[in-house]
Amino acid sequence: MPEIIVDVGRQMDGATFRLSPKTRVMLAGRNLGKPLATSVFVTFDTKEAFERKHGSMWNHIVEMLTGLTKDKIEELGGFRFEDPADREVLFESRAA
Amino acid sequence: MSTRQNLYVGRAGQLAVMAELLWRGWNTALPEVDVGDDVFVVKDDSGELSRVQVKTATARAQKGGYSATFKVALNQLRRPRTPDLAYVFAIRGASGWEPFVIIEREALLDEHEFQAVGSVSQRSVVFRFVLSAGRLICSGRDFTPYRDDWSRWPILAH
Repeated sequence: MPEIIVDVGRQMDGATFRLSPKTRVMLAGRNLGKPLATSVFVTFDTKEAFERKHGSMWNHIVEMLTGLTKDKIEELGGFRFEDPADREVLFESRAA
Repeated sequence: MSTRQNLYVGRAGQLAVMAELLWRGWNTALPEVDVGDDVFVVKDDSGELSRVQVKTATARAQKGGYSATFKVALNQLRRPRTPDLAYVFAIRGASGWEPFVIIEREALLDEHEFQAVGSVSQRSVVFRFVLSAGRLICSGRDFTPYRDDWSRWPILAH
């Protein structure tokens, strides 16, 4: 089970991504990473345009929110994007 | 309290919070369509926007203070949004509004998740604030620092 959980708040024109409270505390407790942002908002249009050219955005969002490298993220078991209201899994990385 | 009375009390709290924000120099607006935000707060010169959810309760007098109970939807408390939500708890005392209790969504969620503040009832979290000897307590936690903490909206000179 991945240790990194990203909460997703879907809005009309996009979504807000934020580390779950437990993930944030876990990373801070282990002194891991220096987050570049506490939350990231991506419009659906931007996501689609980005992914057409560069592939999946999920990894990049996790890297921004955690400040961890791809390898370190995999070492922690990958990541999962969830709707925090009902814990519906929206995406789970293969490393998990 | 009847449902209709609740509507009156809720709107009174909302307008009291809006009045304070306006006095501080921040513009306010009510959304035409209710999708969970009570008030939009705007900094005129930059367009900086905040979302505010106002919760209102009537204080119940207690020895040396009062208690006030609020219900917050769990979905709303858990879901991050841009811009993120701040809660303003408005408490109507015997002789007027008590100091507003202002807390960012994530800070309140942390209190709930890590300090067991509030109790879950159906799909909501019930927060009971108790003022006693000048301290505001919720589930054993000191919420006094949140009283009238308007630091997110400092007074603007126009």
